[in-house]
Amino acid sequence: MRYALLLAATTLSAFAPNLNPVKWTLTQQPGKLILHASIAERYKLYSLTKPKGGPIALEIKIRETNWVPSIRPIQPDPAHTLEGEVDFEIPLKLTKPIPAKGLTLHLDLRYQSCSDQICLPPTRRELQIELHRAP
Amino acid sequence: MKFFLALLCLALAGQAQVRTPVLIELFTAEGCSSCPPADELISAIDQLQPIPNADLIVLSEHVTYWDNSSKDRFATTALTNRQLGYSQLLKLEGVYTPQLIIDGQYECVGGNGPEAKRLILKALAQPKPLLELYANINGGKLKTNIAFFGLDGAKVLLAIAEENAETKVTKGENAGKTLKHTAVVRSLHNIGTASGLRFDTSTEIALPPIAAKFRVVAFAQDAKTGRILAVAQTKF
Repeated sequence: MRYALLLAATTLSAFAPNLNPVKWTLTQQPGKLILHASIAERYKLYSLTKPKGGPIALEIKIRETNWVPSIRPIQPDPAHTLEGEVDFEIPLKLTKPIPAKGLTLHLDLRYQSCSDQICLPPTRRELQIELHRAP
Repeated sequence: MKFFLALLCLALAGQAQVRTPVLIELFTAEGCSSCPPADELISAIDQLQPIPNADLIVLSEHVTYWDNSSKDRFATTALTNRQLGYSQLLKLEGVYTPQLIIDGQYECVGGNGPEAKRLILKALAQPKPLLELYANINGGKLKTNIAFFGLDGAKVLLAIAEENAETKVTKGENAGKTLKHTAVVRSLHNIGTASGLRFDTSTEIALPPIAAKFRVVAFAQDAKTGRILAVAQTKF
């Protein structure tokens, strides 16, 4: 009976797990970078504000600390979990002017996400963007 | 009279059909918020044995990748690697919890009862040779004998699993919940590789620290495909 109830209560036979539910893009705007997360339907991303304990909070690090000593990404919503389309603003203060040949910045992301049925292990992504001197 | 006796024997033989064993592995973690329903499902499958002619042998295997700030006391790297191995063999994009692996061949989301049933029935259609497992405890050690015919090249493994375990979770998304687990793997041992006509091996294994009742599950697994070729369990 209990098993029958469990079978009846579960209605996800058509739901195949999406093991890559967060797509990231990085774009440039004057004085800042925009890190966009597109989170698949039914999934949530643990945000920058997620307290310690359980899943990890989103981490965003920049590799070129000689050009950008530190970054403070701004999350649009203080919630511990995020869904749908989210833009993180990353103000940029370069230590020196962009060289003539341009500058490549790399962001390293580490995050965890869950749907209403599954949870994924910590995931790493590397993003990069080319900055060019204003004409 | 003889005719009726023969009929009676045939009828009794029909009733006493051999149940085909199917190994159901649940990859789970105490830090994963989606896992408690899967723990419940595996417990119900174990207790109720809901599929006729199937002997459903379950194992809960706790993985380490949720151990960020609180440790799942049952999670081990060996079990995480076992799940990663399945991910490669089954050509999946990665791992997740809760995940059910049925007879090493089929996988589905751990809480998905209807899909689990469909895959169990699929696995059941493939016959398995008998694996004989004898086990006894002597001086804190588990003595076993595992034997079967054929299955040349198969890996032979033995899991020692705690029958029932409970944890009151204090951190993470399951904080405040008391999680109940069934057949929690506490150690997994590589017994050998089958070669020739018959595998027949005795081993002596130190028992891991287990508080209560436990079960011993022995299985032969195809090294290349991951398919479970034969499986048996005994309980203490």
